[in-house]
Amino acid sequence: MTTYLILTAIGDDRPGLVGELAAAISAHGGNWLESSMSHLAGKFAGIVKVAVANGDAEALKAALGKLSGLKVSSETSVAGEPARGRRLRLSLVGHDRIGIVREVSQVLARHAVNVEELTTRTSSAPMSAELLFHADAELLADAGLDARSLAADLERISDDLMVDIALDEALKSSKG
Amino acid sequence: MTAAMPVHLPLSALEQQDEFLSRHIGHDGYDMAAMLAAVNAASLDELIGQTVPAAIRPAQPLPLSGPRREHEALAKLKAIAAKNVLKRSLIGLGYYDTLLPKVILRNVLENPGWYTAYTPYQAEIAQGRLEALLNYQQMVIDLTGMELANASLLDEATAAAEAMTTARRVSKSASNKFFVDADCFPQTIDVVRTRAGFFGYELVIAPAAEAAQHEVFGALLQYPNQRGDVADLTGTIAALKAKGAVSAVATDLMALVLLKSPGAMGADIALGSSQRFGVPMGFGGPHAAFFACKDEHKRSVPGRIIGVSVDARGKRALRMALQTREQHIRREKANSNICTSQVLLANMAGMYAVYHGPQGLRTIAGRIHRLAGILAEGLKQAGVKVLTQRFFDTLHVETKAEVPGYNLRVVAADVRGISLDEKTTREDVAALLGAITGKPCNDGDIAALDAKAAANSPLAGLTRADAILSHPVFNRYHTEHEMLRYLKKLQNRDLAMDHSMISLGSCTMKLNATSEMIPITWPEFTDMHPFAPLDQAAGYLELIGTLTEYLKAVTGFDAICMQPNSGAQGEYAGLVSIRRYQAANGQGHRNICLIPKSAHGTNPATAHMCGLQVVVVDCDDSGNVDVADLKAKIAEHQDKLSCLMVTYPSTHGVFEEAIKDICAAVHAAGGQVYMDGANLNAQVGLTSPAAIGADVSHMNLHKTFAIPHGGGGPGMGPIGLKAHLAPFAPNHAVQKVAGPNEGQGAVSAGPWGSAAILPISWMYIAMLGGEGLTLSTKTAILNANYVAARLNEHYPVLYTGSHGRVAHECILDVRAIKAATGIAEIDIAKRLMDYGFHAPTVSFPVAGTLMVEPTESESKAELDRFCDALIAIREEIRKVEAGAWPKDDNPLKRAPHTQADLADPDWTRPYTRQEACFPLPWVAENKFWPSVNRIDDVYGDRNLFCSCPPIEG
Repeated sequence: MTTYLILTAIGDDRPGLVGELAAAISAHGGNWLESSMSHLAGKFAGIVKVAVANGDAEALKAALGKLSGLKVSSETSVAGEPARGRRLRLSLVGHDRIGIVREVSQVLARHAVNVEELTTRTSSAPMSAELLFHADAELLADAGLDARSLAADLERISDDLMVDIALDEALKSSKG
Repeated sequence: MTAAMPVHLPLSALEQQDEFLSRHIGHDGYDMAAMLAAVNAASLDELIGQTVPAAIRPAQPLPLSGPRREHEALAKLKAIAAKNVLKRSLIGLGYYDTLLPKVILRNVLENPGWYTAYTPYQAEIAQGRLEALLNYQQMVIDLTGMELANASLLDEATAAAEAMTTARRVSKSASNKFFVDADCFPQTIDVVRTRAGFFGYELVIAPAAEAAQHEVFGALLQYPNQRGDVADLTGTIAALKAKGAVSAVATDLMALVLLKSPGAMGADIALGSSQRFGVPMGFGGPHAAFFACKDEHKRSVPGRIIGVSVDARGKRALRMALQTREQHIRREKANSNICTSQVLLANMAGMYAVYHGPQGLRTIAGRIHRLAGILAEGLKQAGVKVLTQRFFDTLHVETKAEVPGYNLRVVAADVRGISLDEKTTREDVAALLGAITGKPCNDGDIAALDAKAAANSPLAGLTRADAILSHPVFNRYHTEHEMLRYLKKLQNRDLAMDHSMISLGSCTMKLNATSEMIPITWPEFTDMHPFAPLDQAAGYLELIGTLTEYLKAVTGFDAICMQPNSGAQGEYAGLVSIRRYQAANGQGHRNICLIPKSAHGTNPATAHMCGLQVVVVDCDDSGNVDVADLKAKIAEHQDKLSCLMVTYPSTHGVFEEAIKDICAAVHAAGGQVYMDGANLNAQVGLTSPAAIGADVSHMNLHKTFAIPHGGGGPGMGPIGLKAHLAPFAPNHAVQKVAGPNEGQGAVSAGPWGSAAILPISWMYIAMLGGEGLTLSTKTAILNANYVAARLNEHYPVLYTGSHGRVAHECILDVRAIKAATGIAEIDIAKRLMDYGFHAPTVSFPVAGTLMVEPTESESKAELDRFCDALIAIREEIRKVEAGAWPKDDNPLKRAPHTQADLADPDWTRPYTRQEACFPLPWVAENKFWPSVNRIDDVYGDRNLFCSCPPIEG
């Protein structure tokens, strides 16, 4: 049987960090499946999904705990329940301000929308240099989702917030 | 250098034929030598040789005549202008003669404090024109009865096209059809048809009363319509709404002074031209179109909106709201590509309402309507059939009569349209009656008709009862002194080029010489109706013809289309021409548009509007188009490739050496090359769009050819085309622009766009001549390299060409500073205000940078002051870095500083008020005071308020 581990790793950024993490995983027969890593404010932060034989999981966890300069914690995942419902892609642009991520996630929760993947960033707006907030999310929702009302609720967060929602049907068509 | 004694100079030197060059170009030979030394070039030509790739340099100099002196060029143009024959044009169709109050003429239209300003992105130093624009929005809101208005669009026809797009976005209807009232103005229908075609919408053109019989997502109705008829649209709008369709009403502000508003009739959108509020007809423009809507549609409003926010001290401050909708950010998802609007003209129209006030406007509108009533009554009494039943100012009359001295609209062989205006007098009406009825009309006749007309207005039940323009701003400034001082008060809040250089990269804020500006208010140019018989417009046609030849010489193209009235419109017209050409050659399936990553946001927005799919091409580390990626994408889309949109020199400010190969690769795959002309100022005389391989390109006359920015418009974006594309350029439904392109739809309301500002570019080219244009380009490149050389050690220059040279602008990288100190590009931009400068372009084309374009018109002294300011700011940043000032409490984060800071009794900041307000010795000598502190953008967006707020105590 295979165990799926979700690792989070945080440490001071330096060259070779990812290599050491990968070496520790493969040394214990772990298979690096998916990951997302970033440099944020001088730190390295990563999330990795690893498949490892049940018998090796504990040893892998122990080895990861010994990596220097990198704090790794792991959760065992209940693997593989297939996704159901509607898949949608959401993109938001608005003025950045404190609490915007919380407000967006509250609206998504109210519509029973599950966040599969969320990336956010801030940028300096062309010409005016105002600080902009961008969010791109892959979402999963019930088949009965009312996308128009989801968009309207998101837009209520802020007058300037631009919301684009592409539903699974639209994602398949060529129109981008 | 020692000057030669005049007594020994040859006469040709004393005649100063090239005097204007030394007025337009920033420096004398002495300064130039010092600057060349600073950039380590032996000569100007050596510098140019290291900057512009040899492969694209022309063998011959510009085929244009030599420079002309200012007064001689003015005399020459005056002679051309005199060929226009001015008659009283009562043609109507959205253009009406008007009386521009002289206090507005001289203090706004002819005032560099207003016309040399830029779009108010830096709101703290633009509160004057922002207030003027807010007045304009309030005026539109009041008169249309809508809840929200934008700060203007380009013209009524494009506003109608934008209304169609807005309707598509907000309507829940599944229909792909849009209804157009057959009695809309013909040029409006023409432009809407062009726009609908490329979006793939089907138009239903039929009488307004039938609108609700069709399944449509929206409808455009005209009120009053092209026949002059006024009908209550309430029922039609309600029936459309019941079917899920959005109603847009094209209307007339002067009529709305008296008539029930579109808002009161339930309309979703109201639009039209504000021309007749004091803006001359000018052979078609520039004029400000208005666009107003219900609050619920605010996210879909095209163009810019001014909103109310607060500054860091909690004081009320204005700013552009809803910025995130802009095509800069939304790119190929944008619904509209409009950037430039018509700020100068919107401000004039708004000030016209401020000056006249509600009562004054009622008198003017009442007089126009009364004279129309007298005319109708007189015609009816004489047995002449008046076809228009319920009119405001326009009558359709069954007659073939010619009225000497007047232009009527020829509707049909035996029908004439007569539109009266603010200038119309009782004598005019007597002349019309006399000529049409064949019986002389005297004062007594007019008095008798007046009594009947007053008793029988056809507008019963259609007039408005609600208050208009009740805000104090429309009720305070009715004497000339009050108006004069109000205009001065607002002007003082704005930093324009009459104070200091505006170094906005990609905007080319060069000198707008007085001699270039003078002709635009000559009556020969202002008072011409765009649809006047062309034999009366010989002066305009000669002006346009000569300018066409000039622009052909500069661009190397075979034909010029003068119609697009902004840069974005030029892009649109160019891509439309390409698509029509490809369709005509069985290549209509080509729908891929390649656009480099570094492109301006209008490029993808325009491509989207033309039904093209955008494929983004990468840039390499030096900022150039990644040729390998381009070739891979061409190969991938070979059969579907429509075109490449490319800016040259690149938006990164570099002459890419591979440009010819890039164009050749696109051509080899059967595609066309569209060159964005934003950076044409670096090409004039040194290379040309045709030489690099472009098939079509627009020219921003408001950048390269000296039309001022007007605080955010007007602009002009004519396109140049190679011969194969020329037949597919826009024509016009009313005034055939002639040539082989019969039947090609229009992109703008005016046949030649904003013709009234073409004299500016004509004068610019005529005075500089080929030699001066070329020297201007070289000097612009020298200035940019000089600024780059002086600033590089303080702010690294991001991109250069292979010899380490920049083109006409340079990008200063602030990202490392930001990472190390927390001081961002926006802090530097705001801090420059304390030194008396407008910021360069921020975060375009690369976030976290400043892009400086000094142009050829700045002296070394001004460039040095600007560089000194930026260097002093860099030293201030070091103090933050060193911990001398806290990261969040220093002169940069707190910039700009105002008189409120200077007078603050509780000043406890870690820097002095002297450091805050007078950071360098020369600042105090000509101090510019920002009128508000740093503006809170987020507050403004959370509390959207886009009309005049109550007056503060």
